Amino acid sequence: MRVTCGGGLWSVSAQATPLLEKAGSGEIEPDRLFVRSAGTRPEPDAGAGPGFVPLSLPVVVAEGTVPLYSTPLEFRLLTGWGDTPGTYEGQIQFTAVVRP
Amino acid sequence: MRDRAVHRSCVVGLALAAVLLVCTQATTQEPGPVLTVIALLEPSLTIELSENVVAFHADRGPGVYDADREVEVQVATNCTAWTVNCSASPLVGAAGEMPASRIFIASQNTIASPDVGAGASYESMGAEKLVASGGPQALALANTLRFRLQTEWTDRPGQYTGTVSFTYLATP
Repeated sequence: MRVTCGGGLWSVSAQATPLLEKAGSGEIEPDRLFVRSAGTRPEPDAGAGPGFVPLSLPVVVAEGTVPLYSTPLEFRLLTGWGDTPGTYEGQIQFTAVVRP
Repeated sequence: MRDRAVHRSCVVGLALAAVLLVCTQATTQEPGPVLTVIALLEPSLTIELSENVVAFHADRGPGVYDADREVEVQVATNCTAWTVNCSASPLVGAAGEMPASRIFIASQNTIASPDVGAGASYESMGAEKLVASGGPQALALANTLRFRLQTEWTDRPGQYTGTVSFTYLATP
């Protein structure tokens, strides 16, 4: 992820929608989709490994004051036996907040 | 003099308030890009056995012998319909061979009758046998397997070795 900002304090957060099975028979809740970046904390482990934070609520994945910033985002999905085979699709919405 | 100081403080205070107001109003929150997430979940089924080896100690001449232990098979799957079968190979030794049809299996899925020579509910493994099956509600299942071996006078003394293989058929 690459962030360009004209100045001031900025932060970028991410939040996921549920992943819906295309045939409509299943759903993976956003609390089972995780993200890790330089900005996420390693503890507590929410079930997907140190630093991986569930995307059910807005997660700050980057913040700073520098005008140009980039960080890799890692994603993980936690599945269970109850998730039937298929193709699931959802979205992650990124939101930027800037305070001059 | 004091009035001037108060006036100056008020001016500074108003200016500070104006700056804060400008800063508060200038804070912006805007939606950024949207990342589409696709998850492809493949059909998955695992079979775990509680034992790696079972043995028959045929020490009293021809007859029917129980295996030295039971085997618990555990199945976990995300499929909506599935079956697990097992089949036996012949037991082969330096002194000869015992056909798979003389190995018998009993489980919750075997039929209690008829007795084909190794006791009620024991089925010959001359053909593939159903071990476990499930539907959408059965994500995990355990089944206990019991084995028997039938020996004959023609079986020469010695050690015989074979395998029981497990296979599955799953519908996503």
